[in-house]
Amino acid sequence: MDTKWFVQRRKALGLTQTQLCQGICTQATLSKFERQGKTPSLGILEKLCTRLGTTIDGLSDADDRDQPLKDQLDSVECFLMQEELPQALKQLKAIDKDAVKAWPLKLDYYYLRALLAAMINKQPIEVMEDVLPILDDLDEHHQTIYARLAYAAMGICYQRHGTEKLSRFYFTKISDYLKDTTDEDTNSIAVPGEWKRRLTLYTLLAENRFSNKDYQGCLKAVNEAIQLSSSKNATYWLPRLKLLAARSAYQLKKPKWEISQLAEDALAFSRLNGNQTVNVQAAALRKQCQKMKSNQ
Amino acid sequence: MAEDEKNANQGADKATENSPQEEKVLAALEKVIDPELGIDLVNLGLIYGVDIDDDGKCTVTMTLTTMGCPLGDMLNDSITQAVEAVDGVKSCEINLVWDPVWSIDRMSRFAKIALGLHA
Repeated sequence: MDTKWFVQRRKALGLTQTQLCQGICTQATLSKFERQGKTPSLGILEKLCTRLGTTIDGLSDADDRDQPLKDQLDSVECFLMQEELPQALKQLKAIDKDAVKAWPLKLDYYYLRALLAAMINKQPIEVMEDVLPILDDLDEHHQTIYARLAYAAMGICYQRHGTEKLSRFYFTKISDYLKDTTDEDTNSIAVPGEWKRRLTLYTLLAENRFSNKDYQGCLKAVNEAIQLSSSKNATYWLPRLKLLAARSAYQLKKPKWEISQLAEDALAFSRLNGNQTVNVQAAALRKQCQKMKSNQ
Repeated sequence: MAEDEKNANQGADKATENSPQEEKVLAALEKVIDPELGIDLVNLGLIYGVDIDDDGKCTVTMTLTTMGCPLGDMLNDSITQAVEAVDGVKSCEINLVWDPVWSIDRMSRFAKIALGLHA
């Protein structure tokens, strides 16, 4: 059996051997298959193939069938991180759920669905529909960042619907996860672009802390997020992050120049990213700031 | 969704369709200030339409700057109070829609200048 394509596909989906074989077989079994062509039992092979989004028959097909789908999901993620919710939703709707077979792509698909549903204020029961596939199935041991993204969706949903205690519960779990894993962690799933999801978690955590009037906590999360963002030369979430920082600084009665600078940063990044909502919000804050006494 | 769209489109033509009473509601809404932005809802371009039926029920079709954001009790109350204070209006219903999406273009020149944004 030609295992070259199998290995290629596993790598294309960003999976290590350990990740692919998790819960199916030992890494040794998978390794022997990949390197020596020593085929495992049919049952095991079937499960491995399913996880790669293919079948045993399809093993011989060298295919980039999933690349367009990956691109579409990346696009949704991109829109989400630039707070262009209508575009994100439109792109997501265009994806046929049944076409998403490969496990890593399913994780992306459901986390995006869950977060977007929560952000547009859907009822908890609707958000759960997209959260449960992750928490009860795809990542049932809650080992990956995707479980935390699912928690974030729950947290946002509960916050919006007035159940702050539950919201805090989920965001505490997210905070612990971010503390326990570093930005450079090689133990976490090294899927290309995982830093983006981490950045999203920091931003949502900062937002939640601000809603709960934990302004110091908000600033802390914002700074971690900006550090990560800068290290990747990216501007995702930056308008929102700077606005959160400016608002927190205002609440903490920081010096006028400091608040002003952050508000200006928010304005600049909002113009860069075309984030009109932050643009208006930052302009309003700047106006409020101008009214402050200079020695404040 | 079609109903929302219909309402929203009606909002776009509000200048030609409103009755004098509906105009009064709009004027009342011009006094309702968004607490976060410090500008009234009409100048922000958030009010898509006002419709008063024969029973005096007034439906305000509106949006917010952030998609999916909840309306918030304070704003909800301010709007309801302002609308119900108009003669002939017996009740107020707020129809929060996300289509068409809000954009800065919907803000009046006054609002842009007030916020220091270039018109």
